[in-house]
Amino acid sequence: MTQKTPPHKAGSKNRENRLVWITLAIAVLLGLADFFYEQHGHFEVEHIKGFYALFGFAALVVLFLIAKITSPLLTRDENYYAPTDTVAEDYPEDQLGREKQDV
Amino acid sequence: MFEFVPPVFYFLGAALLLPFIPQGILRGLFSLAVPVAAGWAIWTATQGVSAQTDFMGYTLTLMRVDGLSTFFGLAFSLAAFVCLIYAWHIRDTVQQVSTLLYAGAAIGAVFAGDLITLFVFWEGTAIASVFLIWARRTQGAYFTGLRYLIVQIGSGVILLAGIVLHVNSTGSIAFDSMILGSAASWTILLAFGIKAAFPFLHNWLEDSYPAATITGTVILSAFTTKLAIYALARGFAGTEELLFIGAAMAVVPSLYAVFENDLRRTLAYALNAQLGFMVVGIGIGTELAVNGAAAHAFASIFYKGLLFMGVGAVLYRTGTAKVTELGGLAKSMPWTMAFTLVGAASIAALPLFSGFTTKSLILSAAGNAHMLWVWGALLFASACAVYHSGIKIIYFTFFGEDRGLTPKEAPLNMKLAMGVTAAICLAVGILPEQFYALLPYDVDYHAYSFSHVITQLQLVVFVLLAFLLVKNTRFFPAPRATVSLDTDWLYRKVIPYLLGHIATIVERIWTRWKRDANLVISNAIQASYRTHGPQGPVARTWPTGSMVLWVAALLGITLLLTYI
Repeated sequence: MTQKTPPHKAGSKNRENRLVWITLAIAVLLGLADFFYEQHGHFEVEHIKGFYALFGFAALVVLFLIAKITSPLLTRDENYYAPTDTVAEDYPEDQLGREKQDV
Repeated sequence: MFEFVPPVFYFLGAALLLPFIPQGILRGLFSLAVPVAAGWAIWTATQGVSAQTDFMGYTLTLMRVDGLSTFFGLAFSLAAFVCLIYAWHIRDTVQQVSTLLYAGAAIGAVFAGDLITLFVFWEGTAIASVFLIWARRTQGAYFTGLRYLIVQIGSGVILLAGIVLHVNSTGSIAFDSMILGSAASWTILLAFGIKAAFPFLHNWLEDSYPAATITGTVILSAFTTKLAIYALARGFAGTEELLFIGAAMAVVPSLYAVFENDLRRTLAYALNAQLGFMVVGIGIGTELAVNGAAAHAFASIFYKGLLFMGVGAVLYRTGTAKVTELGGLAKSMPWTMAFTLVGAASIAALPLFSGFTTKSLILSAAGNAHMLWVWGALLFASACAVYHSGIKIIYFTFFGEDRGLTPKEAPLNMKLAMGVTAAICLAVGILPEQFYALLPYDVDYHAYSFSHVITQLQLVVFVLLAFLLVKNTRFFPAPRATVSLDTDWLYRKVIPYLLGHIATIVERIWTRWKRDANLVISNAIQASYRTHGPQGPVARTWPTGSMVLWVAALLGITLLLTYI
């Protein structure tokens, strides 16, 4: 597998890596912020340092896992309900304003 | 007739006049003037009850003006206004008229002071809105519209049954707070629950909204479900059952919103989850919580509308709204992206955007009532919403894999509508004090505490981080070109399948029974033919002599009997 990445894809790859690092930096800063102010909340758990950060992260991971496991059961081919459904239909062309950009 | 003309008549009158106004600027301006006039009438209306009329021995109240109805009336007027700007380019009279009728019926229902008036406008929203689906004019849209209409009319019929029970037991048609327990209240709650998309009653929403026209979906997303939220807030505030219903409603649709391929259907699931927040607020029932439900309904009308507008603009230019066909539009549709980002930030509840100042009212109310599990469920749903309505919509449309699409930017009217809606989202987020002053109850609440800002930012940023880290692994549930199976699978596949089998069995029994019955009947005919037919013993000719003999015998017996 020595396929070369096309230049424009390589650029987007770099951008995405940068985005990950920036997000990670902000996330760490926000997580550390919890140690420097008095936390308010209605429940005990809200006083755990970094509770919202961990909760958000864990919630999405759990959601993804459940979605990954259940999606084969809960999805079917696009034509499954055809012709009584719009999923497999094209949007009527006469109602679109399909225009390309002037290059 | 009335000392104060109910705003619904503005819409009905305009809908009657509209076809006679030439298409173009004149008709556009005319229809835009309607929600402005209605909004002004609602804004200046005095509190209290007016526009009453007698009907079959009951007094109908067309205008009940109080904090709750005014707030929803204004929200609907403003929503109608931005929707009409978004639909400025539409030259289809059917859609233009049904938009006015639909918005008018929703506003009429909000101000209904009694259950009969509520029923009339409740059905009105159903009938007017289905044309926004049929206006797509495809076979699929036709069938979807039929399903939508059956469910919506069904909700109205159930409501009518509930009203009959209610009047029968209480003798009053007043639409006020009800206590759950009687058959009447359960029936009415069921009718409201269908329109509010309660779990298991919800699927009409995800089925029909993505099947409507581009502008139709935006319009549909504003009214029907929020009308149901209003009705619940009016009738069932503080009903404990709503807590569990709402919590389930906030969590379960999030799952579908993750793997759904159609972005408009993704947003429909996300809309359903947001309704769950409002239902929880109504279930808690304190003034803070009902304020939260109303505020979140307002915010949701506009940020969800904005997201539907953004995805609609992309669909309008590219012909698709599917994750598997979109990507990399950031360069070609920058304005659409910027406005959609505002909608995404609002639903993610970032500080300075509308979700931040409205969702927190409900979460705080749940906290004040020490409902840990409800609060946890809502927090989980909030984290999910950051992904499916924020990151997913933005990433897969404007970034992600470049599909070589280079569409033109959205038309001016769409940009304008998105701009106004984005401004509303920002205004609610930046000026919470002024916004809270419009809410039904006076509540002292401060959204911008340091703690709240930091914790909310943590939630959003860590969800984003989780997405970025999981995205390129095999654990990421990437949307595929599929259709999701939801409760409609029951009535679209299972029940028809079972009915097919039952029909076959019934047919077999019938055929057999018919054959047996035929046999019995033809046997009977043959038997009687044998006895009564030309050759049968009954039809045999009898000699006259034997008859005389029998007569003589009978006479003899009679004679004997006489002398005994």
